[in-house]
Amino acid sequence: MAIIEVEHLVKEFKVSKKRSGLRGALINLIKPDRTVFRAVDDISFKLEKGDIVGYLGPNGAGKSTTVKIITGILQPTSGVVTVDGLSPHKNRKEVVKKLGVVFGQRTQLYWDLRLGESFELLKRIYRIDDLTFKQNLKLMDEVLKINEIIDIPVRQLSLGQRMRGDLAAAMLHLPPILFLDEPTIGLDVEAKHAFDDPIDIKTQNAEVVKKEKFKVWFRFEKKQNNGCKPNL
Amino acid sequence: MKEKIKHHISVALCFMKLAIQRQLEYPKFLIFWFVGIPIQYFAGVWMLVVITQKFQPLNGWSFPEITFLYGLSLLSHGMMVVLFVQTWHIPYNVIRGGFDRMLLRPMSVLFHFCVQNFNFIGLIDMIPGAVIFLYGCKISGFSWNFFNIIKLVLVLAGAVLIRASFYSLLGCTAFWTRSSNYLASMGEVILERTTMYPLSIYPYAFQIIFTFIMPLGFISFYPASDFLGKNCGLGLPLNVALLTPVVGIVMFIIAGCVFKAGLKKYESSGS
Repeated sequence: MAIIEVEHLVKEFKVSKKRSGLRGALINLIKPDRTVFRAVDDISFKLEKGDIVGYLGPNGAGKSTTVKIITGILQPTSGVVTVDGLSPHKNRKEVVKKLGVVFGQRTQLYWDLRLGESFELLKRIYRIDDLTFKQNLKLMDEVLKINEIIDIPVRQLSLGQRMRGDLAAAMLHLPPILFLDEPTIGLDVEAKHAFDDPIDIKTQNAEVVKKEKFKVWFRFEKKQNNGCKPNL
Repeated sequence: MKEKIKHHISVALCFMKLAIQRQLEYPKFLIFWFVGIPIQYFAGVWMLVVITQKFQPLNGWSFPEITFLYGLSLLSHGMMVVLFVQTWHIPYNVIRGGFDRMLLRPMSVLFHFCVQNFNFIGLIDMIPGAVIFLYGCKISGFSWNFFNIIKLVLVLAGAVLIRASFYSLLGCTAFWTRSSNYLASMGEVILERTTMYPLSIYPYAFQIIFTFIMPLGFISFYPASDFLGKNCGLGLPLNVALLTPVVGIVMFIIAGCVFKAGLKKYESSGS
């Protein structure tokens, strides 16, 4: 059975176009120019366990919106989404337990505190027991060298280091499904490659693969493409 | 069930711990707060002096009684600022996509939102409130017997819930209006004007509104009337103070439902 199934997914937003200036603002008030904007237009795809796929499209194509629907943040206008057999909208709590999500533009780490404190919170939220937590941290250190930065306040981390921290935070509960939405935003070329490494290790490292973790990877990179059809 | 409660408590405590740590992270910044305390404290006490000296008895309420009323109101305001200050920021979270991360965690979003902040520094807000309240108790002859203390605790808990629910309901309008404009400051003015003076000085229609529609009278006016044995009008029953926690819980449930309905309308932000 496919781990992620998306059928005829549509998401529409109501957008009101604004006229310029004060005169425009007054006209907007009386006669708003509302249009329906179709951000995601009838998308269907299936992903199997173990797939590592990228989802490509130009700016504003609806990539992030699709991810937000699959992860249960947004409600679809129409269409069906199932994650491991469950709807992320009806069974949000069950589904999100299986997800790790990194949004490149937004960190989930506590800005003012040492990186480790954010992990402590996630440990409690995801109910990770002490032993598993220790093992997972060790795993994160092997692939992301987390121990180098775990005692530094997040605000003092470089962007690349913070990304490593965010990635570790998203994987701390070893989710079987991982979404990365522009995880390399703002990173220089070298740092981008550094970021690729853990992904390669993840997929090639026999031990990790044996555990059947980290099986589905979505990578989202903005590259020129004609539409928002998933590139599978 | 027991496991579930344990989990929620452990998460709430961790959020609290991190919030305190975060506020202690900038020791130099704390200095400003310690400079701020005496100023705020002075302003609070000065207000008390103004109230006790300049006011004539208001609709049968003497200075000591008004001081008691005002102190009771400030005390619940301080507690609300410590525990629920984040309800002021619902519009910001709606417009800026702040609920995304909460929706990605396997917990109730409402619970997550309620416990994610603990405004440790806000404890300072409670100092003038406590001073004025204790002074009001002393001059109005409030008796500290067991029953009154229990009642006081219940009243404060209820009043904090009423205040938090009121701000939440104002903030939740942003789910529909999508405006980041801030209703919280308007709410603060409404709350101050309705909780600091006896409600009975207002016209009958206002009393009805602030009793049944927007039940802010239960924050301080009705409990204070009860504690001081005043007639609160509108023919409400005796022991009206015990209605405060009931009203608080009902309002909190309503606010929670509106929050959940609003979350269905949530559209995150562009990125």
